[in-house]
Amino acid sequence: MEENNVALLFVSHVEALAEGARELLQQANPDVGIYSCGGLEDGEIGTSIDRIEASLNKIDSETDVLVFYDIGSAKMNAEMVQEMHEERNIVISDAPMIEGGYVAVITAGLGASLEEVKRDAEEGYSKGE
Amino acid sequence: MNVEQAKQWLRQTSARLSEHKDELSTLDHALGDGDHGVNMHRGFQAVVEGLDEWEDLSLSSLMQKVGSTLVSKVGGAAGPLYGTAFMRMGAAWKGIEQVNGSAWSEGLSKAVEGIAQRGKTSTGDGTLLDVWSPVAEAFTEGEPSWDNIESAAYKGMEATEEMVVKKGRGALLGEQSVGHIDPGAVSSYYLFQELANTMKAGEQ
Repeated sequence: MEENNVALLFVSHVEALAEGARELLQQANPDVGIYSCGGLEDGEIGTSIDRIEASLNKIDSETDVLVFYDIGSAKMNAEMVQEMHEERNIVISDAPMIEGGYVAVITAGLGASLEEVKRDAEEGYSKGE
Repeated sequence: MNVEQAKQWLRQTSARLSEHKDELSTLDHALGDGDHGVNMHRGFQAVVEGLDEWEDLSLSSLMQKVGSTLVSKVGGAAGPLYGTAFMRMGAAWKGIEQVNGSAWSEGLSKAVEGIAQRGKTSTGDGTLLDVWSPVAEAFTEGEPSWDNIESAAYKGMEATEEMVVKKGRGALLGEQSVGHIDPGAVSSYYLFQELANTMKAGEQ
């Protein structure tokens, strides 16, 4: 699972949405580490730093992490987790989860670095390729 | 304010937010996702539940606990924003057991800085910062004037109605966002009004 440099983490307000993104994109390359985190403890809509942190802890600590988020506070919460874990290499992408995630899974699967994967996700998705 | 008054403030705020839960969510329906009341209620309820466990904490540590609880439990954008504000106040009040005017001033200006950083926002964007910022400025050295502080919070809240919202979902509406009072500004007003109520009750 962790042969590549970069794992992807999807943070959504809804668990099914994050998990759906993971399921869809894992298909593009089963060897890239893809993780999902969605909703609150009680299944309600929202994002929680505790849950994002728990998902992060499932990822090998040597692996870089590119985070995709859906809307609003998902980014703010992801940023808080990023600041709490300065020892890790975590970057947040503003690309749309699915379109950007699709590009990311392909480039991460080719062994690209975190910065390259982020750049490709943000620049590549709009080309409809 | 000492640690006991802080706890009283938090309890009263929680009760107030739960009383106004539906009102806050209704306000949030106009430009947001309509969950601000439920979110704030959930967060402050968790704070009140924590108060018994946090019995022996210093004022500074109590504020930090309140902050991390709000971050974890609130759910919406208000969680990281309120949470950061309380954590920054806690950090500013290290070693202080009785907050006076200048400590309030220092604590709240750190909180305002934290909200601005976290939300990448500034005053005039139609957010809770438009309440926190004038409140921070209303504290001066010496004994705080709680009437002034409450009125600064009220004016700040009211002013968000005329603002073009620059943050959150409301920002997508541009000029059409004018005419809606910001729910985060309203919950912040309740927070500071309950602070004033708590402190005025202590003076009698």
